[in-house]
Amino acid sequence: MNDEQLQPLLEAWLRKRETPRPKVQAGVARVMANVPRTRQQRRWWPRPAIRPTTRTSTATDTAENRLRPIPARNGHAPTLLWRTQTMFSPVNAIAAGAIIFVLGGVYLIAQPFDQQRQGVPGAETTDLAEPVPFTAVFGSGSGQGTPATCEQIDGVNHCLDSRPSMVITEASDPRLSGTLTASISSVQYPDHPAFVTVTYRIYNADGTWQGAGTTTRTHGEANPPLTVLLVGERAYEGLYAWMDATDWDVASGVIFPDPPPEPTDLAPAG
Amino acid sequence: MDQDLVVRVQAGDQRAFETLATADYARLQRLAYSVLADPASAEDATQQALLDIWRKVRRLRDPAKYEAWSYRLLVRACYAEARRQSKWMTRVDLASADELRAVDAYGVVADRDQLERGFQRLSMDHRVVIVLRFLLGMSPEDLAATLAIPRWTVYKRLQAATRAMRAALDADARSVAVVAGKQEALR
Repeated sequence: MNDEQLQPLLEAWLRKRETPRPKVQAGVARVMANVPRTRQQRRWWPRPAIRPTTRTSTATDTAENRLRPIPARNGHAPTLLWRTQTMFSPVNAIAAGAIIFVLGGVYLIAQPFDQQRQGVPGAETTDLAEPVPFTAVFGSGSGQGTPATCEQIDGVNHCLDSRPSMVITEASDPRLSGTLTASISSVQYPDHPAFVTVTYRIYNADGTWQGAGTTTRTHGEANPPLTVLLVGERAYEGLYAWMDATDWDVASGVIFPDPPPEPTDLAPAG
Repeated sequence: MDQDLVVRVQAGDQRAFETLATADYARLQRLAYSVLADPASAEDATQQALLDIWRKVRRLRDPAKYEAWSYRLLVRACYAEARRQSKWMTRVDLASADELRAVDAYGVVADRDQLERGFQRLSMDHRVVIVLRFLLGMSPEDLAATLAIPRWTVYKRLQAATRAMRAALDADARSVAVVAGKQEALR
């Protein structure tokens, strides 16, 4: 006996099976006797008013898209095991998107005030158009500099030399890290301080800073403080670093996002 | 089923519930008897299910689904009744010599008796799916929703139940053939 033979047999047997006559009145009376002392349970949240009572149809939930059992050639009735409707629901998708959007927005807005200037997670960081102070320490030189070459013209020595390349060991701003070279040109008068121009060049993988400063130096004395305006190139295009070098080994200054102001055109008096 | 009646019962109307219980009693009792195969147990399960309906009816979100929901409560009551009366297992009748004497002169046992014996050997899980599927004509999807079990479990139970029924019928048929053969030999 197979299933096709058994099923109609079971249906007929269950429907024709003798069932004792129900004692409706007595049974209901027994139930009703217990009803007054049986408390009805409250409904669960959420209330039915805000729950959809009918299934929302989707764009793909059409008759032609539904799976149908393929008729068997041997006369057996096939059984469809799996779901025949899509699980996608536009309403649920929109609700999930809205929840994610709200939670993300709350997370972004809820940053502590002292952390907001450091950038908000997930937001694109932009260079602030504000001056940024920095400090830098120049390390020991590597290699050898160019020996000074001097030429005497009318009793005045015009010299040109360069220091060995130095690695900037400490830089509070990574944009000023890298390697520093300095070339020095000087005009030396006998028995007078020399007129000195120092040209700095700082370069790293992202860009270059270049600039020159002028000072005076008395023979036999320490290097005087030197102020240099470095102009950024490549990645630092448009930036200007005003640098104050103490003993030409330690520097501090400010990176400006704009060029320095033009000198005032002083009209001749009178 | 009058949905307004269900709504009134949800509002706590005892008179409406009495009307509802009177209308549903025979339907629920027939199902309970089909599963439990014992009149007294079926009455008890039916009354317990009706009391559960009164207690939990406010949790029914959609009054249109009252009928399927009432079947679920009734099936739970049947399970409870079966556990309470553990003796229902002792009513399982194996094919005894007395029964085999009921073989008629042609060696044929009525299908009805074979089915009754096979059904009584089934577990409660299998009885319930057999009754809901073949007596009420529920689809596997409706069965899964009514019993609050996965559809795959419904298929497995249906398959196991029909296999057990088929095996019981085949075993009875073999026993009948053996007895008929013995009776023929004695003549």
